[in-house]
Amino acid sequence: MHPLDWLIVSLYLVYVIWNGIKLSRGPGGAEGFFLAGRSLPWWAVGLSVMATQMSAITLIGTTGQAYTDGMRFIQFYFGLPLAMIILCATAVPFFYRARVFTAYEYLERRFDARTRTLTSFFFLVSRGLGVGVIIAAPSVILSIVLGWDEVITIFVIGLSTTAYTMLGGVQAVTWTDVKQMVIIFAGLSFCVYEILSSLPPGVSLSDSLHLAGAAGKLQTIDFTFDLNERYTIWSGMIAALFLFLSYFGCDQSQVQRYLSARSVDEGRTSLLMSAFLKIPIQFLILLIGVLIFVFYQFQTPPMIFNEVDAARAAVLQPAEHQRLTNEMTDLHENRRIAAINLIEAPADGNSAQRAAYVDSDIAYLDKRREATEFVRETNADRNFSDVNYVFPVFVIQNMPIGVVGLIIAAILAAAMSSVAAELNSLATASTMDFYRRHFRSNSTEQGLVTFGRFATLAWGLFACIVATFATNLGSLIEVVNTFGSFFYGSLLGVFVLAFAVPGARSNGAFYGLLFGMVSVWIANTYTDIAFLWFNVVGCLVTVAAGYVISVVHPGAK
Amino acid sequence: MADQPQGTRHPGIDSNLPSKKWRLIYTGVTIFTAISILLLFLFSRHYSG
Repeated sequence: MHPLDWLIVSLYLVYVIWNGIKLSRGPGGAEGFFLAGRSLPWWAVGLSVMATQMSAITLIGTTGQAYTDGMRFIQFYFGLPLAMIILCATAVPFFYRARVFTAYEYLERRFDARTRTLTSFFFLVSRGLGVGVIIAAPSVILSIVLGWDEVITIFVIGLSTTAYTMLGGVQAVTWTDVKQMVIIFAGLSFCVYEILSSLPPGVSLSDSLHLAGAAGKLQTIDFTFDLNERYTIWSGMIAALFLFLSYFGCDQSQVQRYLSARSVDEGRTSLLMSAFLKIPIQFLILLIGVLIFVFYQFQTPPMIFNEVDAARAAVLQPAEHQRLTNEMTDLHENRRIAAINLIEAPADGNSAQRAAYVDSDIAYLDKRREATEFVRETNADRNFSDVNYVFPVFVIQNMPIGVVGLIIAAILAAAMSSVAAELNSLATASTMDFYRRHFRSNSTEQGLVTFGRFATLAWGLFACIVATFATNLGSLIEVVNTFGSFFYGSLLGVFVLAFAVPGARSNGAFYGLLFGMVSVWIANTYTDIAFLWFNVVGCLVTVAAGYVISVVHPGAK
Repeated sequence: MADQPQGTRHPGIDSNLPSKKWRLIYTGVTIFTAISILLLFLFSRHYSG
């Protein structure tokens, strides 16, 4: 990177830490540290909700996915607005009026202490490991693309975020999120402008979209009903609806955002901000991936975007690597000429040029698949994929000085905003659901804040250690994601029992949760249904089992 | 622990029915989402031919 880019990234890191320290003088006491004294405006909470959800891997992975697979991924977000409406009508007023610190605290009021403790424990385990993965994923990519040391990158992201979260609590997390969202939007806007400026003379945005459309990159809606297909309109509207209900309604990392709002109405408005903006923002991010695809119709793309792994394979099998490189160069040139012919052809009589372009693109993609398989087999890495490297490699190799620094800062901002909210919520759940509930029920306000700060530091260090292992153990990431999917739908089921089933009792909630998790394990082991549908299975089984158990063996409440 | 607030043990959806203002807002969000999905469909059809 150019020294100016380094300066921009360094200034960003110094600023967020300084800003966090400055905000440590916010409202006092436990409610001040954990919920900002319930004083934050809706727009700041709304931006924080979006920043928490948008991790670095969302930014990097989504653009890469659009480059390789088109815009189908946007269907995943179709259920989000409806989820937000349901939560505005249910979870937000219930949690806010109960004046709880954590979502799980509400479950003790409704059921019993063991349901609260079990759900909070599962949250701590899944999120504690998950935040390590959130740090690891961009660290691996940035270390390979920029040549940074992997462990140093992990600790720079992890410890700088821990520092301002520990000092400033939710106040620092939220206001830093707001500034980080500004940096992310600025980085993405510059990126779109630069890509469009880099296209050959005479190639307009409309031409670019027609090219991408011909290559099948703009297929946004798939009406096929197939439980094994990950992204269709049905999985987005139904299965993802359950996922978003669970994520925004039962996951402390999001619940804590809107509990810090000034009022119930401001909490609702902050969620509706996401309902309005999420689909357009995801469209913009996916469009960047599509525009990168168009850019590489005219510029030669790398054979494989993870150039470190490609170079390793080249050392082991140089002749095969050279053959693939030469063939891909020829196929790219054929595709480039076909793309120019398609753009220059009249719009109402271009079917021959269109067919030629589509054929040339298919030929190129087949060779790219062959090259990916070559790297996968040569390096004996069955999980190898370069999708997540497309965006950072494109930025480093093609963006002008200054914009590179801004976009790297935006990637770091996306990672840090998610990590900060996760650490903050982990600390809150540790303090309120365990320390105060089970060990120090008479703790002073200052004692709770001190423990909360200590817990933030401990979770930050734990996340960094998990991240250093996660970079080497691909299966650990799978374990974390799978465990999260076992938990999410079932957790939602417990809250449905709490909110909507007046006859639900403590035994039903507690054992219903366990039944739900077992049902997801069975679905995962014995069926091929796509991951998103696990949330539906877990929720429905938990509610059904919880209701039956409540009737047969109600327990205390 | 804070005192147990009224209505949190068995609250039920009925006790939290949204006001007319919020029902209008929710309707607006739903219509906006439906229009967004429709526009995406038309965008996809237009450019994918």
